[in-house]
Amino acid sequence: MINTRILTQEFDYFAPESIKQVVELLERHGEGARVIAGGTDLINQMKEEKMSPSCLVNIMNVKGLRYIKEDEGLRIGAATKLRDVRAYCFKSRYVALYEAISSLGKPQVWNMGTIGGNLCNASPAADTAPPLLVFKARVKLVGKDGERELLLEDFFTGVNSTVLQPTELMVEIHLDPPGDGAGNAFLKVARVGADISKVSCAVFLKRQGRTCTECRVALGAVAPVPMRVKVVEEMIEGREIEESLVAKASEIVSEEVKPIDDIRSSAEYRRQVAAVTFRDVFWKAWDRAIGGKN
Amino acid sequence: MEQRVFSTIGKVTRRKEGIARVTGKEVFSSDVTLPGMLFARVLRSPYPHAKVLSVDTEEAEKMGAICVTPDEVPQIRYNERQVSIPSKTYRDRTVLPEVVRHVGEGVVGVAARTEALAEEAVRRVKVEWERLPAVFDPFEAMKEGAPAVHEDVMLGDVRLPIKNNIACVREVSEGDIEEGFSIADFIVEEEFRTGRAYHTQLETKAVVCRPEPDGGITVWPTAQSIHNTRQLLGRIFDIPLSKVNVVRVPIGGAFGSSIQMNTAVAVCAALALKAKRPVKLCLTREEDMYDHCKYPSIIRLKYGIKKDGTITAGEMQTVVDIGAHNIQAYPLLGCMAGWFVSLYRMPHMHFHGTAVYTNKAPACAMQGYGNPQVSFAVESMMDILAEKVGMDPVDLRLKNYVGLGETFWGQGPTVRSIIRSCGVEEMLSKGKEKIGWDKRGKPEEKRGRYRRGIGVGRSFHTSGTGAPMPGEVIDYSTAMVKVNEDGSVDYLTALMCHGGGTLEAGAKIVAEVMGVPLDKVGISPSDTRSTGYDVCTHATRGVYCGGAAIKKAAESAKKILLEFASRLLEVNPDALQIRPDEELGQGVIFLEGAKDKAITVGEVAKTAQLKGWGTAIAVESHRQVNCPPCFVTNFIEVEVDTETGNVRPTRAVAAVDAGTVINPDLAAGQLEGGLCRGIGLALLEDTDYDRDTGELTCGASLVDYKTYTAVDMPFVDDLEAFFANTYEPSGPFGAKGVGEAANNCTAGTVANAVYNAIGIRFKEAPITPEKVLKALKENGAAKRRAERND
Amino acid sequence: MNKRKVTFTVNGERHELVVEPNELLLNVLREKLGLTGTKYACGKGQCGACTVLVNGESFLSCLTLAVAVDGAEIRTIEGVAEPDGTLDPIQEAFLDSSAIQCGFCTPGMVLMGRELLNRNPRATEEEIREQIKGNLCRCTGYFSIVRAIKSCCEK
Ligand SMILES: Cc1cc2nc3c(=O)[nH]c(=O)nc-3n(C[C@H](O)[C@H](O)[C@H](O)COP(=O)(O)OP(=O)(O)OC[C@H]3O[C@@H](n4cnc5c(N)ncnc54)[C@H](O)[C@@H]3O)c2cc1C
Ligand code: FES
Ligand code: FES
Repeated sequence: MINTRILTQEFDYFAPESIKQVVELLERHGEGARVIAGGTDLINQMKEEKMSPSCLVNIMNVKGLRYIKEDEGLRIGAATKLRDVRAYCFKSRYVALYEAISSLGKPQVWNMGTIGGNLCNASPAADTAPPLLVFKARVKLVGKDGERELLLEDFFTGVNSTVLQPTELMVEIHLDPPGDGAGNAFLKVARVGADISKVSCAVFLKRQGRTCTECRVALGAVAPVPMRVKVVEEMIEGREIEESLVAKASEIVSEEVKPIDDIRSSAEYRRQVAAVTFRDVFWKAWDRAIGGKN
Repeated sequence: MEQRVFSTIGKVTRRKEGIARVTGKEVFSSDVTLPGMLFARVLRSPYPHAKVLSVDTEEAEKMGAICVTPDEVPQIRYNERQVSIPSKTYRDRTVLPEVVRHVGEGVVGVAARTEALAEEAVRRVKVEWERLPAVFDPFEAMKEGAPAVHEDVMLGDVRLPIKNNIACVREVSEGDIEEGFSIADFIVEEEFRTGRAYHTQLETKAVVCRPEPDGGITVWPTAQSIHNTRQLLGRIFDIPLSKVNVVRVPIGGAFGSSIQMNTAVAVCAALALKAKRPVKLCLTREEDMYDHCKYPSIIRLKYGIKKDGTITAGEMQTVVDIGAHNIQAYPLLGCMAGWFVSLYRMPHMHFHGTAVYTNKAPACAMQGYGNPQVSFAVESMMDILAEKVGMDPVDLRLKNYVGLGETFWGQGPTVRSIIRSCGVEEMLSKGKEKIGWDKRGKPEEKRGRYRRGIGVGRSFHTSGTGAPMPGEVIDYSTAMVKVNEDGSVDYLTALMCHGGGTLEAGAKIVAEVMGVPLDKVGISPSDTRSTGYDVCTHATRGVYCGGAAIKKAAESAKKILLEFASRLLEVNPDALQIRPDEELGQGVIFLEGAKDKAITVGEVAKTAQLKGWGTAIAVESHRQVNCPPCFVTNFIEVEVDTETGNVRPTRAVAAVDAGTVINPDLAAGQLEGGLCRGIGLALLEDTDYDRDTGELTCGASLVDYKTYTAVDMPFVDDLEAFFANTYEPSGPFGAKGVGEAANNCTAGTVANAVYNAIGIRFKEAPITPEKVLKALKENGAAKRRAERND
Repeated sequence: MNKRKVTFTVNGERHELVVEPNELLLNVLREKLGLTGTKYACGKGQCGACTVLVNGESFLSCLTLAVAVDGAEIRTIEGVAEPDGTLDPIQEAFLDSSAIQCGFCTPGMVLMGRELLNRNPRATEEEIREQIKGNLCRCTGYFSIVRAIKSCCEK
């Protein structure tokens, strides 16, 4: 049986101060090396013995990984703490991200955990993923072969797996500027407070009067990776919004998701509630989009 | 004579343990640190059922670790809980077994200098297993040819073969059940289930054992009864009780989880005795979850009722899946019969209970000891019956409840007494008003996505297990009270406080009797060597039974004190009284009406010492000859989201009839906590096992075993707790218990509230959103079908 | 493993310690510094019993490597009252609201209350509930704890 009172694994530890040093350390220590940010996922996984790195590289002292700035949208350093992102997004044009982090874990986790950690851990239920997906976030990765940028959509490859190479780290998350007439929202369904999602959903949309000119929908915990539902987006974009259309769209959401049975819920339940959650979130975003205000 | 005006009792005060607890200074067993102490770990079974073929500890010992294996410990079979008389005690476990019967059962103990080293050492121990077939479902287990969890057990000193995994059976009848059903206008029969919830006491169990140079041992355990722990250790390790000293340590929540001597204690003691050094063993949460859980229930319930709402007969059949060990299933079944009988009057009744072994973590008492399970079924059924006969659910309860002057079974059929205080009516009528019962509406009138419903439920718990006759259950307490030379008072018992304020209540009782200010009463540290026997803080007996012993001891000490005072004041001791004087910070002994005949308690005690008269000190053992019911009533409002199936408690009224309330704020705290746990049982909590691996599907951690958090509860202004205005003639200053009662009716109340909201009757707890949504869907489909056919 | 020297202050006192990288802050506080007010109850970040303040922010010490808080200022439950023993208002409130039963969750709850009051002395009941939602209490049902923290908030 595992022992959650202590960490049984033995490993080397480094706390470098520059991105370059991080990459060097990762390269030097090879496969067994692992980045640690807040550690809220990683230490748990090590306690569960699902992971036993031989070397941890702490990135919390690295300069230039913790920032939030407006520059053609929003740019967030990967090691920025969830608390800081949450505070920034409160009453901002990125309120869905505020809502997602508010529902993610609890204050202690916001103080410890980072946004990059939430993404790199690649849980299907990662709560920042749906809002970031609908904000068309791009992530910037740096490795021994330099820098690359890709859409968050293309970042996740499966449960706890991403395109990250062993020697790569995420340095920045870049969100599209929402523009005028935009609204967004996030909701999650869980068993109790401070719990992992059974279903989560984020919607970003733009409206002109009764017409939805742009729409993006993403869900969490209903497939191996946080997923966009593009058929639904296409169905809604350019259309006048009526109850019946949203109801129809929610049925499609139900069909598109690929949930499983697990300890937290059943596939059947998730399918139904994905539709409900989508509908609730859609209307919330729609109402917020009036006059382009949130 | 009834004393109803008090100087200390009933006042809201800061609890004595409070300061240590808000400053982090309280020392729980996991905080006990001794010089030269080793840390222990236990190698646990990865299989639900297996034989230990061999154990190889060589590699671990090479590291310097101390190991104990099954063949090094006494193979005495014991029951970790000694509350029944020996001939009714089933004994089926050993310190380290040669056959493991559930995942997580400990097989080898290992101690080393640090916990990390102990962990490393335990991983180097090699065990060769022979896997045996396992069984997880109680009905499967009872079939011919099912794997046998136990071949035999000991009942008292007699070997008892176990057939079809049936651990024990209990049948109780009164009247003529057939007759009872034949005179009914309606007969209703339903099956109800409650889950195998886990206690989730916040502190995982821990223990420190120190071997003593004289061959004895001192133990700091997580325990609800230090004397139980002592007796067992003495017997298992063959040490005279005078050399086994078990120290009372504050406990980080209990709820029944440490009602028995924890398995960790015996392993740790074995290690300490072998190592000849102190050893500490703290369970991980994972280990703790494999150590115990609540008794789940499957209850078939049948009632006969007349059109006017009179219940004529009741029959209950229950199967309890007790897991791998029979900790106290026999008394449990008796109690379940008792809870059933004592809720509503039934001229004719029949109870049949079967406890079944399976290869799962053993079930033990958890707040209510079968009562929340029985009350879930019965209280759900009362609403079903009320609808059947067209009565208001509250009225049906009022018509049939067992109350004043009637016989009540405190602990099953052998522990009967007459009810002498009862606040049932008061709580139902006040509660109705507070929640707005009459405006709750009918389910079919409710519309919209979010539907609110209000439910009622009532229950009770026994205050202790005392009875006029000795019976099968042991129940008494011992207390010592002594007056110090400065007028302060010490009191000492082996009673345990689980957080609810039992020891605080004891201090208030002492202050009240002795007439000294509460802050001059000290709660003495306690261990088995210095205290007389106390059965356990269980069965909601702390205040009613323990408090009565404390009161008796205080009265005896007071008598001595007044005798000393009478010599100084030259007044007959019977004419003297004591009152607390807050200014002097002392008790003052006085003769009413005579100003010059007054002296402080301190002066008397000091003079008595100087003159060599002695100390005003008394020790008393006391057994209550009753176990009065503390009644509870809940009214709960829930909101059902008909699209997600989520059920949210929005408002609640919780009331208890505890007789005189000694600690009002702490008693209210019991109601509030009980409500939260009861709602958890109703809506959230259960455990299940993987049929292949025998492991808990929740991973044995709090990641996926969920309990409610602050955001899931109603807002503080939406909860009201109140007390019935009663006085229990047999209780100390009129007091009964609260403890377990607090959660007994909650799950049933919630089920009734859900019904009132959406018109669907859930008979299986927990009522998860998944179940609600499914039922709503089926219900909707059925309705549409019915409409089409119209 | 490369043992490391770490320096941090705990409750105002500077400590220089040599620790293994795999040592958890929880165990260093409890075992090396004898500060047993910080509790283990799940080891997985779920219960909040191990909460301490790191540079004023609530952290779960069961998931924190001791090496990772090098240089930090740490406050544990033992450091909430003044050094002379004067209790913090939040501690007084817990006593007055009977927000303590078994007391095992209390250290974490008190620290969460303290953090909230530092950030937002006017917190609403909703904000109080959110603040302690990750701290389990099995005894109280949370009501008295919420009342205690509420009583410290300015209206
Ligand atoms: C009590 C509790 C509740 C939680 N509740 C939720 C919840 O409701 N919803 C939710 O989504 N999550 C939840 N989590 C999970 C976790 O807190 C978040 O995923 C958090 O954002 C992880 O960030 P971190 O900095 O702690 O990551 P870490 O644990 O440090 O790292 C996670 C993983 O990402 C890698 N990594 C981290 N940063 C980088 C980087 N910059 N580049 C490359 N790789 C990197 C690490 O190597 C590791 O594999 C919870 C955790 C706890 C303990
Ligand atoms: S022990 Fe750290 S959160 Fe439970
Ligand atoms: S007081 Fe016991 S867990 Fe909170």
